[in-house]
Amino acid sequence: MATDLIFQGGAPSNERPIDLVFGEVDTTTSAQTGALHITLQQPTFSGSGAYRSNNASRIYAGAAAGWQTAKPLLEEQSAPWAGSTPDFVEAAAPWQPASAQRVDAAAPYQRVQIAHTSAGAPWAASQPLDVAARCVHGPMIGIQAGHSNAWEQAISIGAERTARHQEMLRNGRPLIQHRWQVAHQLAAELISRSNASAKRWMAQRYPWDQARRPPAGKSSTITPLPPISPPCYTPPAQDAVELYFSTQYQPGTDLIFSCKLFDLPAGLVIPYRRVYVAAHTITVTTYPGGATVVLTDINITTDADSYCWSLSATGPVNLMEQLAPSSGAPAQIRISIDGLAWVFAVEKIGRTRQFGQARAQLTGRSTTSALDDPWAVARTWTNTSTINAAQVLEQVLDLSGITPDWSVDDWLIPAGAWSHTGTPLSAARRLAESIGAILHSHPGQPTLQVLRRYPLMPWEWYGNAIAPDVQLPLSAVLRESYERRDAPAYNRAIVSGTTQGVLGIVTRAGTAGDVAAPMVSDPLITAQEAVLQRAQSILGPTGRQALIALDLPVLTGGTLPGVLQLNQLTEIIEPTETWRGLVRGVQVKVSGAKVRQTVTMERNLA
Amino acid sequence: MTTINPFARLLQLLPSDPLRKGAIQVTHADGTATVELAGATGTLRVRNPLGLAEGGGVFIQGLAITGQAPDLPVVTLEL
Repeated sequence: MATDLIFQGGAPSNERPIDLVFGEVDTTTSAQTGALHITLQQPTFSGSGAYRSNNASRIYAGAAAGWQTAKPLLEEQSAPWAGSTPDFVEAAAPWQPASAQRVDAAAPYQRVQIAHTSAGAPWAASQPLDVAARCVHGPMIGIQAGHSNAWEQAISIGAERTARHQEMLRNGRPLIQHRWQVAHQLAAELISRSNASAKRWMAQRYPWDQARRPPAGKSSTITPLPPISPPCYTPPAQDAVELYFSTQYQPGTDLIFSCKLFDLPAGLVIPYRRVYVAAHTITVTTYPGGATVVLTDINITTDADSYCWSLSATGPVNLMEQLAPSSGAPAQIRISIDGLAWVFAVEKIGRTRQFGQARAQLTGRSTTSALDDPWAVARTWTNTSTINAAQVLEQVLDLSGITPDWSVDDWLIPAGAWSHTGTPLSAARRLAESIGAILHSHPGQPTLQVLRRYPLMPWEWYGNAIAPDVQLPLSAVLRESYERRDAPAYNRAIVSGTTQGVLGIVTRAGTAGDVAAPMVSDPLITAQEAVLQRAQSILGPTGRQALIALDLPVLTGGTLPGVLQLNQLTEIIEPTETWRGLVRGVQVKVSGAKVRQTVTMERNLA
Repeated sequence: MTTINPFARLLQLLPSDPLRKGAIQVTHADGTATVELAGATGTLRVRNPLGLAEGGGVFIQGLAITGQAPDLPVVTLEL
């Protein structure tokens, strides 16, 4: 049977313990004693210490002074030292104890306090102060000794490592900078022109550069002789004499001969200059009135297949009134560029007006356009008797005010061979076309010119006896454009009249005449002279050719050519070659005070 | 022809039918004739609407004989 003991009331406290004893207290229990033996391992202590001071600026500065010119250390960049960490080395630098500042504070300059002693006995007052000052030296030495433990003995090793690392970094930078500076000088040398060209000329003219090792076999004992330059004059066979005069006849008895070997000088020359300067004088007036005409952006062109010079220009809108045609005749204007004059009949004039701007545009042709529509009427021509071709042109231009300039070989036209209907200009064009001639106009005068298409055939352009009309260096050329215009290499032309005349078979000299151009038949091929000139216009533009357009300044005065003319044989001196071409087209542009001409030349590459 | 004139270049591009001269070599039953061009530069077989006989000089245009042509004196030149 269970018995419940229920206690109520205050909590037990330590001051008044209440002992509740149920049953008897065991008083026989005695205290027990014993020993406990525990064996512990010997304790070990490990530790490491590192002293870091990021105050290595002096080392860098000192090392940087001495090693900047050491170039060969570049090879050490590939040395195995690159793997070591420079931070550790810097930490082990020996110069870290900056406690020397304390030394400065305890420096023996405290004798300044001797000023105190000057008031009294100097020796008595200074002694206690010295003691205080010297006490500072003591702990300072102790601090150094405390720092000079085993870590500080690695000073020398650390110094070497830092030295190598700093060299490697330093060598890379100045070498890279040095190479870029050299590259700038090379670019400057490329700009110069004359160096490379002189060497090429020497290489081309050197006669002995094909020397080679003698082949196997018996060598020749003949010593080579330098080539003998041909004499200046070689008399032809059978006691004939050829005289080469250098200039035209002038009053007097002096005969001036020229050496055939030397190139004849060109009549018009643009000399080689570093800079070409031209100040232009441009005047535009009415003709023949002389009133000033304001034009801007003048453009004057001609070519070998145009009978005239053409003008296009712009100006203020009052040109509409100033240059209006009067009584059926077109207004004429005279344009003078540095003394080179053009006279144009104003053909069309119009205007463009928009807000804030009104411009007039005009086009014109040479005054020889009076022979054409709309100022000339069509008519018919025939010849009832034998007549010269030049006379035909005079008949065509009769009473027109235009004078003929016949510069081709004349030939006879039998009665009935000449018949044409059309304007006078078409008649003149028909006449020139029959022999392949160029119909052209004088720029400033009412003259209709008939020019040979090839004053010299392309294979006759080169040679010592042929003097170019114009000579200019490439340095005077502002822009060049080159276009190949190849044609079949015909070497025979067959030209025939129709009901009268002759049948001409013309072969280029020195060829087999096996490539014949398509036959040409023309009623005006009535004589050998006509056959020859027509054949020249057929066989001239054959083979490998190029059209080359050169932008040139307009340089006048002295032997300067000014604006080039058609058919001028022009020699261009390039650094690597000298070539000649025939002027086939000229364009003059005036924009403000700037005057440029574009000359298109036919060059034969055969 | 080497030219820079745009109109002249256009004319070169257009087909042309120039007047040629030759001599009839053979006449054929179909109304054509074989003509040798002047200068011995080739032969053409062209229509012969005029019924011209062999051996005579003819003008040719458009692959047809357009008329008789006189024999002209031949000059041989060199440039």
